[in-house]
Amino acid sequence: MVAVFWKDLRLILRDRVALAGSLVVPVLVISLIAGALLDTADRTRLLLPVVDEDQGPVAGAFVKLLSAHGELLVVGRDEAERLVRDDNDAAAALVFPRGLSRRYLRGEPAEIELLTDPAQAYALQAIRVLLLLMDREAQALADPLSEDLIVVEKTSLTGAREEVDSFDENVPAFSLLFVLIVVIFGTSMALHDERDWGTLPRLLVAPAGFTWMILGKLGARFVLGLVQMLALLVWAHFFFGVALGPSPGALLLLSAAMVFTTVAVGLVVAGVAATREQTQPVSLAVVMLISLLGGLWFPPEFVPEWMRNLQPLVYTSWAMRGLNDLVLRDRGLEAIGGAVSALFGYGLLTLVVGMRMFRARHSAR
Amino acid sequence: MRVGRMILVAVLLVAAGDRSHAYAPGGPMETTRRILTASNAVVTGPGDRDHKLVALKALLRDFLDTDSLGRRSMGRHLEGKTPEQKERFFDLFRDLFVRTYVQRLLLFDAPDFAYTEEEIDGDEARVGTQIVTPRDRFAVDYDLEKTDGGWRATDIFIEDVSLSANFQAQFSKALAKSSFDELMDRLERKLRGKKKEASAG
Repeated sequence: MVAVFWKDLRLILRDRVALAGSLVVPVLVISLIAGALLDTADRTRLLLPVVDEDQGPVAGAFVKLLSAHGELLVVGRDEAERLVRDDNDAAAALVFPRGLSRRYLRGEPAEIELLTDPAQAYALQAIRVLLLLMDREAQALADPLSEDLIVVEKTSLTGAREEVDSFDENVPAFSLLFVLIVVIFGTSMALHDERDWGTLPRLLVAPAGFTWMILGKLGARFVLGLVQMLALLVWAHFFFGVALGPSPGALLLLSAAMVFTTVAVGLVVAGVAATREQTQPVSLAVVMLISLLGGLWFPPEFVPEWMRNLQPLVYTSWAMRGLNDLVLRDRGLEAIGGAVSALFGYGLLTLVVGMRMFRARHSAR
Repeated sequence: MRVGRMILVAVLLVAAGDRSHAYAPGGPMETTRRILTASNAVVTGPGDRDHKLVALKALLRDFLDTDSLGRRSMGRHLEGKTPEQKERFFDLFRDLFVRTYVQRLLLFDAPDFAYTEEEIDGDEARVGTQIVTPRDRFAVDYDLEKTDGGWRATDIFIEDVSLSANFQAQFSKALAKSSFDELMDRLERKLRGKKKEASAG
């Protein structure tokens, strides 16, 4: 037993890169998570577009009050709707209707419109807190006996649903995280297994050629990852009631785009890692990094601005954007065009880079 | 914007100039103008909201005839009540009415007042005013009654809606669900609770 212990220890110590990676990667990941959660000073304030059709003292008083707590942007209705519905830059926009001040001063109830994107549940929750402050102010201004003079009427701009539950919010992200782990680890390790077993050199000299042989191996991983992704989402749909959007075709296309890119990332990992041992820390680092930056762990409003600025560079953020459009916003194929294009573009580029890296590494041996 | 508002006020004052000279000193229009000018100085002056609230309440106490307003608002519900119950009501209503009016006034950051007309009918009068904002005008009319201490407001119409009628509707609704004393307790809790908050702040 002691002999086996020393043998394995020597094997582990021999691969210095894998050993260093195993120690450094967790430290880096923990530092990033701490940066995301603790760097509150760099976190931007909550954006709340406001449409002031009233232009009177009541809307003015509310704008003043809300400005102290959030990043208010007084805009026209079209711009407010664009920020919430199309760009998803704001979780909600507040509309003070024409005549609000006049009605309020006459002691008549008035309706304020809240145009929402229910998919941004955390930010929406924060906006609700702002509205509570506004309501408190309104009550302070109102007669003690009067009923609520301000009624907030919510309208979802991004789907039929007014609310999303925690399953809808979390299950798709965790499904994607699971697929990232399985596919990136699986792909990179499988390619190194072929080398360790001695079958890779034979495959590489086969008549079909290097590229096609690798594509064949990646294709198998792609099918496995796609089935896993769809199985997880379908399970979540039937057992947890997670909505999957109105279009099965859109779900299939988005899942295919996500898994395709993930397989390509697995190939890059295999190219970066010199040994099978090294694929583990490199895969772990990549999975942690892209899932954190992509918004799989925390919603974008939880992370500091510098991290949010990096998100468009990470394909998982496009995957999450597409998933949120399907699951949380009940949108179909027309809504995920940008996300799918970005994913396939990212995937193709990564595939080319990964192919060159893997070829270069194995040609060198 | 400020210059524009000043020009607007100047134009309004010039336009109303000839008539303003006709208003008798100590008459309803001049009394209202004096109070509103002083109110404006408080609203636009230094100090936080609570500080201004206290200053405006003190200023308006003699101008607003809250007992008359209270009688009108409570109407027949005061019939058969003991002197103690009535005294408690008038005391609470004074706070309630002044607070409501002042809160409305404080909504305006820097209100400009325009004075439109004065109608006198014996010991009663109506003074028309407007709160002028850069984009809008809000009509505030005062019913006044001549007393030994001068002209005092017996009702205020904001955008043609009488504050006393507003309170009358609220009292009738509340008294349909609860007794007179319960309503007084509720008012006391709300008003005195807010007083405590204001003094604590």
